[in-house]
Amino acid sequence: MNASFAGKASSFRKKLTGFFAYFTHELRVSKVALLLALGAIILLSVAVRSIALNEKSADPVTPVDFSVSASIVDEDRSLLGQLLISYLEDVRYVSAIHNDSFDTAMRRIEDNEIVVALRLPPQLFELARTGSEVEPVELWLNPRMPAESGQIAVLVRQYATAFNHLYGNIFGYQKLYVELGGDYNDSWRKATNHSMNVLIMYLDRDRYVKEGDLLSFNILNHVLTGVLIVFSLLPAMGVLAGTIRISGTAYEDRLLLSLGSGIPGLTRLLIGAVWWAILIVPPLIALSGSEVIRSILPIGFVLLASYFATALLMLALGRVKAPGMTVLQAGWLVLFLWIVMGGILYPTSLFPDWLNKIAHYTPVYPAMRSIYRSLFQQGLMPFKTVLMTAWPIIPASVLAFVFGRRRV
Amino acid sequence: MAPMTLMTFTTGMTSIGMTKNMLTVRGLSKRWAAHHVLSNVSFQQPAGSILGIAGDNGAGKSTLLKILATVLPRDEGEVSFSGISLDDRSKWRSLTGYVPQELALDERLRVRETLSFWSAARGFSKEERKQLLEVASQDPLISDFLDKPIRECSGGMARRVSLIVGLLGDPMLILLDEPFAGADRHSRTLMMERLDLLRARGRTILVSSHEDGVLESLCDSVLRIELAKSQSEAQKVLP
Repeated sequence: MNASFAGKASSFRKKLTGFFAYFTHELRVSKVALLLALGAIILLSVAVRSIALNEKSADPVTPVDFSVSASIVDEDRSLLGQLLISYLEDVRYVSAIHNDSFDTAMRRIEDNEIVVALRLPPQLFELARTGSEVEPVELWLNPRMPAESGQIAVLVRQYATAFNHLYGNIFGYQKLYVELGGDYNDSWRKATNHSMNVLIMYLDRDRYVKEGDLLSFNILNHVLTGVLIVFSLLPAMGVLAGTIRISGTAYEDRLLLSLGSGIPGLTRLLIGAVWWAILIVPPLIALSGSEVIRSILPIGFVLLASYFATALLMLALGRVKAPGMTVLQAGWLVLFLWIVMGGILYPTSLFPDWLNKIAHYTPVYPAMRSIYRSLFQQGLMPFKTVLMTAWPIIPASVLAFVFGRRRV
Repeated sequence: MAPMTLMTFTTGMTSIGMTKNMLTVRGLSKRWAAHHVLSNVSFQQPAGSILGIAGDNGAGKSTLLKILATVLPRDEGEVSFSGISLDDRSKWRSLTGYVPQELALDERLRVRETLSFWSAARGFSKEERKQLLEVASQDPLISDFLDKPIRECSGGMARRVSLIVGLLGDPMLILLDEPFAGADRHSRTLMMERLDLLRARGRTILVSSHEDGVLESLCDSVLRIELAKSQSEAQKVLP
């Protein structure tokens, strides 16, 4: 038994020595390219950091993806208007909120001072709280700011739906209270109290603004996310090229006899990971240094997962029995497909609905989405989201295990 | 019909019962789709001998050696060496040295680095690698150009390096696929002297070549592989 254990230990030691030999050999032969890439990426990172710091010093206020200035035309002059103004003043997307007359608000829209004016009609609160018919709330949007106006219209529509639902429930609650034998006036007072409590609770949740799916399109964040993902995928093409280069050759035969079937592929994956580190870590440090992101770990993990998923797939693809150039072209095609379907070139919301739905299940999409979202939150990302972005590694590992090894 | 390989065993070499360091091949067959490359090949080769494998291009010499080197699967047949089956790949590979037909060397490395790399890849410790390089510096096969990059080596020099890489670990069974291709007269002489030495030390050696003269002067016996014109002709010759 001891002899058997000693034999296995010796075999393991030899495998380990062989692995390190091949790994260091591959590193050494690409030393110059690695150093050149490192130099270029450090220069790029320094430039990014400098630009980010300049942007920050020019606008010390916490940047937001878009901001809105608005007027409230409060002809109702009730608690509702004050509550609304007080709430909007705390929303970080609202840069200015004015309490204007209708004419002043219209002038501000004409002068492009504000994006939207909200008119609360007279006796809105008084009539609404007794369930009477009310004049509608008017929303005046600035036609010269269609993008911002569109965003607000979506938000308001969501709030309106919620309020309608809420209002219907409260009105029903009040009627029930009367039917249960309560005092008529007291029932309205209690129903109003209840409705205001619920309304404030809803507003405090701020759910549509902070936690919802509605993220405005920010070109800088999109480009930054796209560049990081493309940089993290490029080393996978090196894995493919390396696999094609030795696949089916006598050199691979020698590696197989010396190292076994798994180590050459594993080494190529790790060499790719070294390239990944060179391309990704300096930019992440630069972004962290300029406080664009507060933590590099979640984004780094998502990008590393994207690399490994792609590289594992390329290990399998590289062993397809076809001319090397054809396989390499197929690899670039796969990468391009992932980049397009992941929403890196264009947001997937621009796709037809059916294609948009398909895009959600492509490997790069979750990475693109989570990093893009994370940049709004300065690099923070829920742990569950980080893990969910790694799902493509599982099918890619199976493919690599089944097809990606030289087997006899 | 696709051409088929015929096997003729030209020289009897050993008694069947001898197994110590004996290579035994029984009923070995290999086909690519419908094309039979090797069909029912059987032979035995004792330790301390060199078996030449002769035949035209495409006859299956390399296929046979690749199967014995465990880089190509066989379809049928039993192969063993010193009582170890070919199926026990780990043990088999530890006993075997293989020199492929192509050079299979990294042209970016120097000869010294090549030896260091392949010995490390085979699991040699640092101390063992150091000793190996000391020996190599006195080895007439490569000592003259240890610091030369592989890409600057002549065909003969590269062949010599390839041979040395295949002999790393002092294997008991040595498989050489066209080891003299592209080598000049001086390189051939040096390589043949080395093979003679290894034979004298009891190694079992298989050498393939399409040059009959080389095999006749070097080998104890020759296994000739021929392309058949038809399957019926093949069946006539096979035992």
